[in-house]
Amino acid sequence: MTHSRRNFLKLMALGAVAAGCSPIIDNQLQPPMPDATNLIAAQTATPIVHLLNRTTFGATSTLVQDVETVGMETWLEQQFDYPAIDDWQMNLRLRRLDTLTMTAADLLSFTRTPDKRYVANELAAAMLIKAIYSKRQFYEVLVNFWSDHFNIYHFKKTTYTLKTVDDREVIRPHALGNFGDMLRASAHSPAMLVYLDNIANEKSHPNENYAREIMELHTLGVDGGYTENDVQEVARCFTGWSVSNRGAFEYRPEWHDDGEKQVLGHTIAAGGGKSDGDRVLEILINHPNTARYLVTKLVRRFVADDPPTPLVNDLTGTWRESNGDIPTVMRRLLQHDLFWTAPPKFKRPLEMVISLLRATNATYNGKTALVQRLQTMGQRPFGFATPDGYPDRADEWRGSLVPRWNFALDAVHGGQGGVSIPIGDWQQFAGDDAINRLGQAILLRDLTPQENQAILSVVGEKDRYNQSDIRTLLAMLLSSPAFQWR
Amino acid sequence: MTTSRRSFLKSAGIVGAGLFLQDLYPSWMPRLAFAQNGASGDVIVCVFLRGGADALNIVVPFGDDDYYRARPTLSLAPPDSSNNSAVLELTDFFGLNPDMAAMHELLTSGQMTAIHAVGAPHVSRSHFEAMDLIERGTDGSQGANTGWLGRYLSQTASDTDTPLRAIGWSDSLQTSLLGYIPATALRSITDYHLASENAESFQASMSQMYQSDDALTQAAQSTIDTLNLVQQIDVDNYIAANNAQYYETNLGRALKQTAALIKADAGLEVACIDMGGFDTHIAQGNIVGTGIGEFPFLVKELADNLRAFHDDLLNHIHKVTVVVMSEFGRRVQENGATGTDHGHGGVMFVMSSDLQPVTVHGQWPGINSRFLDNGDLAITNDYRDVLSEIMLQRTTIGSVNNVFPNYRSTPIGLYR
Repeated sequence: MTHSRRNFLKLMALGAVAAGCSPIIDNQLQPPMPDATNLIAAQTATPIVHLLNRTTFGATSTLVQDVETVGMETWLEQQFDYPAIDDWQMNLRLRRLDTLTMTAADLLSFTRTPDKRYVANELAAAMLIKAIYSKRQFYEVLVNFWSDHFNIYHFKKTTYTLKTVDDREVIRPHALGNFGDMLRASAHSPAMLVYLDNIANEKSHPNENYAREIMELHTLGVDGGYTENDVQEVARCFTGWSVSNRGAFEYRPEWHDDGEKQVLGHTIAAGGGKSDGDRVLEILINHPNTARYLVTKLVRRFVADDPPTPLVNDLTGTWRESNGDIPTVMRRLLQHDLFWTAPPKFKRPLEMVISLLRATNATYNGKTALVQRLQTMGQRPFGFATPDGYPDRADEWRGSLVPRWNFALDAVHGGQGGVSIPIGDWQQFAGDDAINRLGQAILLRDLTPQENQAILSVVGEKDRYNQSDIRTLLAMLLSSPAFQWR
Repeated sequence: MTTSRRSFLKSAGIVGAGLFLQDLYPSWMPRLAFAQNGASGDVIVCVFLRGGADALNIVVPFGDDDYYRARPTLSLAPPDSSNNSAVLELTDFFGLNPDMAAMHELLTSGQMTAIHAVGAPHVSRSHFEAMDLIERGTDGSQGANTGWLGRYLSQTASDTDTPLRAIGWSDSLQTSLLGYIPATALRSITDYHLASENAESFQASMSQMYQSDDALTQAAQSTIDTLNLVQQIDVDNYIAANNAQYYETNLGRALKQTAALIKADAGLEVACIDMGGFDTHIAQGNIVGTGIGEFPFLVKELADNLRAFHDDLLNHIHKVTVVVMSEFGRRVQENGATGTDHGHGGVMFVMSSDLQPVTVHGQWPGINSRFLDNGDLAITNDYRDVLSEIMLQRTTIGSVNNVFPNYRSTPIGLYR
């Protein structure tokens, strides 16, 4: 593959220049600052900003200019064809995270809690680095969506380490692929089998946890038309789907309940062995309620907290015609009028943090401090204990704004470990009309008189603002209500 | 306090009826500052003893000879006023660990009660699984994705809840609070301040910026109110009432700050507090001052601080219910290392108002080997019976079907 050879050579060249000297590499990697002479003057969010706020981890002034240059359609098509996007800078940032590429068997050799935690922290840091810096932004947004959908809590038994494999082999290969393929992969994922206790689902002691959640959360939805009896029967089908001591999927025939089963109106004949579970997966993948449930969740993420019924109906048809082909469904969603007229979505803590780092051109060096910060803000990557994944509606995240304001304050004042914002570079905005120009660079539109007034009341009218003023100005813009929505 | 007065006036549409309300509910009038719908219930404080607390040496069955047979070195003597290592009499069968003397009067005067041989029916002997099960409040690992207090809070949530409605005094939220997203995990109330040297002007500008007519603005205004409130509480200089003395420990600090929030009418409805160290496999210890062992110090810390909390809140305690629980009790027979291993039946305490004057509830199953459950104290009371009764008697929910799904509780008879 010429592609990766070229990347490899680039990596080597940079490595040779900068061996052991990461500031030089970091300088090479720094995305360009917003062009102070070419800012977005508009009263409300432009269509490009709207598109980018939904399909990336945060529109930035620079990215808006890039999309203006190539056009929205071309940019989106490039995003769909994500493997063709050269992401060498981002890959270089991951260079010290050694556990990301380890095999399941090797990962299982981490057994002490602090060691397991080290592995978990690396995956969480990698997630953040990719969200901030990857040029495959749309792909990363979908990876995040599917990581929530097939939620695995990082701190249960061996999920600390096996989630690394799930991320690499279940979520990422299929995030912009086929839903059925992803569900099949997830059902064979050791981390999922551990997390939802199917590892201990045997004929003599059936465990219904996975059986229930695959229907309630992964496919049909809680009102998806299954009964308690279906839960028990599906659990029987998955008896023996377990995990080997090398961290691989393992079917244990001696644990399997080989009798006949009735699942959602289908008879699964006795003697099917492992294929009973495979049959269940096909029944669920092809069930009409799966299409509707998944489409509803996608619309909630990309369009509105309360998914509009016409859009859900339309996309449910697309899902079924395309057999759950995610790019086909997403293309149709992004073309829909209801997408373009959608009301703002409230940023969850993760989206607030990442978009802040993107907007301010911050450097994040992969340190765990930022992962821990997100934990205190309520959204550590892979840190949601229950299988329903982080909620996606504004009213579930309302509550205290103190953690958001404090993150903005700490980030601009150099008080957030692992993060540095180039305040010196932001000083280029310090002169004439600084407040509005900074506002345009961060909020991607003109400030409202009210925002302008609130900021002026703190920093006052000056010809030239000093570095401390710039920090204050940035903190206020990043804490403003406008920045909490996308 | 201008902010709360303003919201108070806004809150009720009761400006004219103010006097009437004041007469009717004088004690919690100030809580209307935050206009909560669940306001008429008690503040629930849940103290969880992590590690499996040794119930037999907390509420001691001195009337059961098998206790002394099973605990040759760890037993505590029957009540005897001339022996300061003897238990303090609660009934003619049970006595209180002498290091918990601070709680004795509360128990004998009907302000607190104990429930013995209590726990979850089919609980694992693993700390993690047992705590998980109990904090979720469910049978087995299946079903609820949320904690029992989280479900309670969600059920009674309203648009005007304050950010300090539910606090877990911990680095990360306790499982029992899961399901109520705005629940806040704090190590200390001092975490609730702005990380800025110019907090005041920053706060003022936020107040100016957040002026739309939406939920976020509401959240911002309530955040700013709370920041002001926390600033006024000034926990660093907080002085407890009635000479109450809290320890400078996690437990003491959490109880003290909980008391401060209750007095300040900060809208607190649920607080979860953890106390660790009860996994006493080795050299458990008998009483303070007789050599090695952490256990006597732990139970003394627990009793002294609960007493301090009670005394400090004397004028508010009729609106507060404290429940003390653990994931399981310990093995009846002491082990070869003068410690105790993981067991089953445990003890709970409830500090509340309108309690029956009963010091120890629960049917005693006996600890003769033929009554034991795999060597452990059997369970005659489900912990959910205790919690359900508190919920039904001291909060406004009316039904515990959501709090403890698929469970039909049997009242213990804690309340008058």
